[in-house]
Amino acid sequence: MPNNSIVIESQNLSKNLPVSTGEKLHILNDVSLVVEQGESVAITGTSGSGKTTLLGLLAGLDVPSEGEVSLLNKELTELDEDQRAELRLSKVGFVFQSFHLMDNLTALENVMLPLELDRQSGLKLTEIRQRASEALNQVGLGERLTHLPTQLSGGEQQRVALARAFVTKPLVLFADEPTGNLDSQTGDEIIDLLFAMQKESNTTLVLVTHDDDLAEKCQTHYKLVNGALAL
Amino acid sequence: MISLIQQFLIQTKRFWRLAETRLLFLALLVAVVAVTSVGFFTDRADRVMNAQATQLLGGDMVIVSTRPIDEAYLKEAEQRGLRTASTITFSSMVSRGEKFQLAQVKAVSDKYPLHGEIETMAKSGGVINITSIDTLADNEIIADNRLFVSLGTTAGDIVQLGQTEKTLAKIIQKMPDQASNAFQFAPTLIMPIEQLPATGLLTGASRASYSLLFAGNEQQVKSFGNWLKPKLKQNERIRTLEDGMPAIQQALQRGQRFLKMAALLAVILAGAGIALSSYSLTRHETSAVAVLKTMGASRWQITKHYLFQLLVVALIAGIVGSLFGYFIQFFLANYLQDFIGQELPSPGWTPVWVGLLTSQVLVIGFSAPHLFQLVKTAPVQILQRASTVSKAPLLLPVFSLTLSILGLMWLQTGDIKLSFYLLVAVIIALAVFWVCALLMLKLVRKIGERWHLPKANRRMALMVVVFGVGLFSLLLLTTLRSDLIDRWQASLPEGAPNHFLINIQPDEVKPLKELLAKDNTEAPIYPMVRGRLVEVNDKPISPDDSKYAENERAQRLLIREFNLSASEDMPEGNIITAGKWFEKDAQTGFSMEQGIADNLGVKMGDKLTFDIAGQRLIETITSMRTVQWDSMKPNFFVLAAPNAFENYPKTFITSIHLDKTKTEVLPNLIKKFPSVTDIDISAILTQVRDLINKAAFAVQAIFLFTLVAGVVVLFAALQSQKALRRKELAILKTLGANRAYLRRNLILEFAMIGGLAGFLAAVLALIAGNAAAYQLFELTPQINLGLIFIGTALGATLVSIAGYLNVRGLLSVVPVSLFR
Ligand SMILES: Nc1ncnc2c1ncn2[C@@H]1O[C@H](COP(=O)(O)OP(=O)(O)OP(=O)(O)O)[C@@H](O)[C@H]1O
Ligand SMILES: [Mg+2]
Repeated sequence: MPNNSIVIESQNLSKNLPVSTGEKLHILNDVSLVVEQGESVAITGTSGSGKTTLLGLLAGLDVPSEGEVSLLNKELTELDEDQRAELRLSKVGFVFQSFHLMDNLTALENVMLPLELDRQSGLKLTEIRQRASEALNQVGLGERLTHLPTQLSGGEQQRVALARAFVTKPLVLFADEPTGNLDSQTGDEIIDLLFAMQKESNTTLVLVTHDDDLAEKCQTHYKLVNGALAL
Repeated sequence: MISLIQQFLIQTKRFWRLAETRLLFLALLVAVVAVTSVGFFTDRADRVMNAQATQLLGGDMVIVSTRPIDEAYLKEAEQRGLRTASTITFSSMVSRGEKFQLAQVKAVSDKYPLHGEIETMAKSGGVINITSIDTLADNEIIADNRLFVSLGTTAGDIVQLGQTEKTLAKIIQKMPDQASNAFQFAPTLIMPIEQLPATGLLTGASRASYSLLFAGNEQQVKSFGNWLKPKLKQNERIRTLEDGMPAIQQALQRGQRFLKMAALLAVILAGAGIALSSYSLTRHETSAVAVLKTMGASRWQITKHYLFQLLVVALIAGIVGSLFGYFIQFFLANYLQDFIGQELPSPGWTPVWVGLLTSQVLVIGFSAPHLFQLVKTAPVQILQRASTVSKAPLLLPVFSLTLSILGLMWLQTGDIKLSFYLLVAVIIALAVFWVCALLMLKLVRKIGERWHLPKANRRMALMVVVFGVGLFSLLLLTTLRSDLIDRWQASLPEGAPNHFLINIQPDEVKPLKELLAKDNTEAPIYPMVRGRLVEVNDKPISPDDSKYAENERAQRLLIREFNLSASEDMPEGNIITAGKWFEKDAQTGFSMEQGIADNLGVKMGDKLTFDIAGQRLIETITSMRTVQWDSMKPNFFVLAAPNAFENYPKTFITSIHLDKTKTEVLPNLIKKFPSVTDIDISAILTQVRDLINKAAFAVQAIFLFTLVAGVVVLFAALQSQKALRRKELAILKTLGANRAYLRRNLILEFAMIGGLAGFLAAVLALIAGNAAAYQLFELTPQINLGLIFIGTALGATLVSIAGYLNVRGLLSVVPVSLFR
């Protein structure tokens, strides 16, 4: 079943924004790509080339101006915001450059959050807590469960974010410059962790970066130049 | 599955960790405490007043008429299980030998009174007993002491009443409906109603007031009232509780309304705090919402989450606030207890519901618009560097705020029209504040450049307005309160009359004047004749006239007799509103009180005919006056020319101030002038003065809530700007600013904001306070520069302290971490 192994597919994806002069700013042009189950994909390009924009479209966080995207065999342009959200529930994870942990929640509570959101899973609170602390153990923060984000270093916060992203065993993980806010050594540690967890759960990985060395670690490498793919 | 309770506990715990939530809670708490403490107290006081009023009325409901009332009403009421009584009241002469006295005769049925009691004594100053009408023997009647004195009788003597002879059995010490008759100078006589026909006094032509009294539980009375109302004939009226309420209770009721308004002010201020905290909550949670959406949360899930949390916070604030309010109310009630004079009933539940409702309305009305904005956050924002709050449409928040403020005002005042006025006032006040604040900041910016003051910006305008409004209400309350007290005290100076002397005979006027002059207690002595208004411009006038159908006061005036007087000098405190006061030695003309003239529909130049014991006095109105009713001096609706009553039978009246230390004056006076009756009003006076002092305290207590609410608003405002300030400080630090410099700058900025707010608040409070004092009490405007100084200093100090406490933590953060 070849179709089943395709996780993300985009066809002639474009994104324009109206600007004050009445003209349109073209951010993305005609991007078509296919990502298969378990594949790791890197998207690189100079700053302002449209990497983040593309990621947002592929993940269904934003809607394209033209073209089509399907995620997990669902045509995203046919879904409304809530339906797209439901699609992500427990199946799609994110890691951001600036971590985006909830600062009023402890490390454990942050990791519990995606499991709590998924009502269909039917997990009990103790099970959720159990799985979340296992995930934190895996990223080496088993001792820091009750700490608030402000009490953690940047690298530690990103580990919590990794645990949060993987705790649901997602089918797809989107990461936007996950090491952008970290020094190179901490960044390397995070990347190693990321790939290890990706392999273990056979998660499809879409990674935005401007680091070509990092991009080489991925099976596929797309380059964006001025909003268009340059192979 | 996670149970609902688990979810509730988890989420509430997490939500509570947000500083904004705690501020929100604090603001709600202040509002609820203010509303409930005042609510509990006024609820109790209301119920005690109603109980007193029913006693004064003699029943829960009373029908009065100038004609005999249909007996069918009584039958229906009794079938419904109500207790009933009936009375007929009219004036008649009572005589004993050569002595005659006009008395107010009240013929009553067995069960009278339905509420309250008739207290009697066998002789003046004797043991007080309670007398019920059915214990009176045939031919026995009772009367107040003035009748005994003027007829020269003692209990047990026979008097002539109409065609019958009666035994004056007991002296009435106290009876229901007495208060409204305090200035009804004819002595009251009570007789069983069965004895009335035999006297032959009541003929078809007699003027009498008939009433039916009903008593029962609230439900019975209400349903009977509903049955009764459509059946009432044109001349039949239902007397309400308010009619039974004496002036002092009306004053207390007005005081309560003032308390409620003060609480309302605290609520509105707290509302500003809630709006601000919700605003910063929204900004803070924007990225959290975006993250939740990337995880797959639906809009409804997010709405539910935040709405539920807000309502839970409001519920907790409502419960905790009601508890606080309950305890505070006890202090208030204890303090005002002896003044109310009666054991207060235990507090009811109503204020709790009002408190809970207030906090829910506040949170929904003031936070919901922000919440809708929050839920709309696009998930893609999380990928962009700075997450921005999407621009809110202005219509929804404005609509929601207006509606909820109006609702809260209605909830507090129970008066939708008043609420509208208040709302308009609040909106105008806000607009004025906003414009003034912007103008002042512009000015400060110009001056500030030279002095290297912190840059005045829009952010400061918000703080100036928000804190300014808080300070404004405090300062306005303070000035109004002192105005109020000044005014009350001015109207009741130390030497205000505390005794009325009535029934002074013409030949006693001169010696009494001399005696009073000796004691330095001289006061004008007014003649008094009693007359009934029978014609206006030669046309007969009657309480049954259709033009008075809806005017109960006019009806009562026409049933009873007017106290007419004559005076050469205009009584102190009266003000001529039309025409001219009498010339010296004038023989003709009437001077009429404006309000009563309006009530009766008569005007300058109208010809009035009074029937004074069979003689007709016809004069035209030559002037109109206003009268200061609470002056505790004799006041008259109608004054005739100085010598108008030369040839009429009359008595005289005066009011004097008797020093407490001169205990011998009064007994001496009574011994010398046995017919003179003394009415001691010093008790009422102390009561009124007590009311003023205690009401002032109560207002101050509520005023404390507004102060607390103001501080909460201030904190909320500071919190809403914390993130921005954090960034600014980081940038300044990287540019090389040291801590001392930053601290100086911060304090200076806060002092400037507070000073401006305080200045603005004081100036506007001064204007508003003077306008109100002039409007309400006709006080001449005063420019109180001290208030402006205090306002500015208070504002600068408060905002500096609160502001510095709020941002102090930011000063010690290292700049690099600020960039994260
Ligand atoms: N909401 C927006 N309004 C206006 N322009 C936008 C918006 N979003 C993105 N852009 C523009 O689109 C272009 C692509 O932005 P995008 O964030 O995708 O770049 P990027 O490749 O992720 O860059 P970087 O490596 O710096 O993160 C940029 O020029 C950006 O200014
Ligand atoms: Mg980017």
